[in-house]
Amino acid sequence: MTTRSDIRTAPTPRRYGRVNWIGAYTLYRKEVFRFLKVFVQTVAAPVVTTLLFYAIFALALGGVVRKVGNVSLMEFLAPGLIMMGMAQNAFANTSSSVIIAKVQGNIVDLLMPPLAPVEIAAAYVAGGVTRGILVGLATAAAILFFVPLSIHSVFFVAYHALMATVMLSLLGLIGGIWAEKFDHMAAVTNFIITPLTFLSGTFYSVDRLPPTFLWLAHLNPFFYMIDGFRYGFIGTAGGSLTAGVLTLLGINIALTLLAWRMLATGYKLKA
Amino acid sequence: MTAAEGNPLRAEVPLAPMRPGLAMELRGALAIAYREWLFARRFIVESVGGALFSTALYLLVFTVALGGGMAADAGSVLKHIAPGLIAVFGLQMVAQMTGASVLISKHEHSISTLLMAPLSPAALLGGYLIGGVSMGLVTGAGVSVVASLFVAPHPDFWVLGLFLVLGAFMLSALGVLVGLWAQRWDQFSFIMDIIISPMMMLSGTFVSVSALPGKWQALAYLSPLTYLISGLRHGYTGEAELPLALTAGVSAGVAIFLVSLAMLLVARGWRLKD
Repeated sequence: MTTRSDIRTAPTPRRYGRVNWIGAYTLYRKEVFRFLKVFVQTVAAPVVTTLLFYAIFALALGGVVRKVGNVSLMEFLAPGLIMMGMAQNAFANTSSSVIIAKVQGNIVDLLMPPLAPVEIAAAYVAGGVTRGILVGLATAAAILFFVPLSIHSVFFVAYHALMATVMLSLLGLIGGIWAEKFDHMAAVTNFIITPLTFLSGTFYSVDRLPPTFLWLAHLNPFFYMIDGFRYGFIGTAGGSLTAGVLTLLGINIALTLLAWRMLATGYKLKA
Repeated sequence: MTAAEGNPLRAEVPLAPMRPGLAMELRGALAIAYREWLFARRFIVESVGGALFSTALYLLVFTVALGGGMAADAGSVLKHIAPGLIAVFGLQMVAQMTGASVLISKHEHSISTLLMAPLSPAALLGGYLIGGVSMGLVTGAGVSVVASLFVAPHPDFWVLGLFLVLGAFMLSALGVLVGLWAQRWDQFSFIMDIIISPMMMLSGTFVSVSALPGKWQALAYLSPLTYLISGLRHGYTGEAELPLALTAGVSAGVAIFLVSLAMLLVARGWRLKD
């Protein structure tokens, strides 16, 4: 029964400063719980898939005896595969979250609360980064059972892991906003993201490529994220490290602006 | 007045119910198979497109990665891998599609529409299998063609066809079983990604079983997929690693076992009617 005193203590709107920290953090938590609830599908399966690739290439390419530059093929492959797992899952997390919310119609729950576009983008990207890093750590831990990995430069490992997962999370967010059906998203994943992660030096040194393709590889941000990450482990790189660091930074700034613009204008979200 | 009453032509030819019998069972099964095709068309990018594209991508990566030091035997490695990809991409997709179709029907409760139709369990399962097998033949053949862009096959079409049919039956039945068993998507993904996928890839697909160390070799010979993939390789390259009677016998035995198990469970309505 409602009494006078109840009305007096009725909830008042929450006040917050320039940033709605609680709102953004809540959205981030939702993003993390969304994939943790089905972690077999979102973390365990990708780790198994990555390890399979490792086993296949080790066996089929004779990885134990072969060398790429001055490291064994096994040491060469490990960072590339860890990066591949991180990248694909960071992308999968944001893209599937947005497209599922759009198809199910619960995207309004995201658009109605007092969250600024940049807070929404940050929470989504942080969710994707969390899944990417989690998959990367689990894969690395599993690989350590077979091959000892040594770290040459902690900075390059951390920087490229962060930049790559941020880049792919942003791409997933933008792709998810753009896509209207699961089909569109599947097409982007199958025909753009997977080939780019496969063909950008994950499995081979890019100097193996014919000159025309080598030139293309140096324009490809996916190449820099794999190359720089691998440098952090084995200490040799196929391309320029400075160019890689700057390219990834530049691409991430550009993608952040694009994602922010899409959320701010409500492109394909509020129409 | 309804539209049907207003149309003199319709009124004269009333819809007669079909008589129960073989013709009706067959028509029902074909209708379900057709529905399976329509379902797969919704996911054409992942299913058929994904299988063909992934095959090309894998062979491309292997071609470039093998391009250096091992040039001499690069051709033989690719030739070994190509027929394995028929199973890994061409046929595994069938299990995914059939399983997903059953699971989605359970989630959306549209499975009750199928269960209420005057069809025997055999026709119900038969419909799913016809749909799955025909899809498997199309993608299996498609993957074989794509793989031929990278390696020169010496196909024995009868053997290849036989193993495509056996493999398609095996994986469609497996798909139905996984779809029946699973109640959530992560259970489905557990079977498909953590059990079937590794089995597929490690059953002599990328490395000849005879080249594996002893313990692993014994394990690989326990996997029925080893015999299926060896048979596909026989059909694709014309070279038999294992005797045809063994590979065909094991593949047929496993296919019959899985189809019978699915038949038993569908007839009982396991996880369908409870």
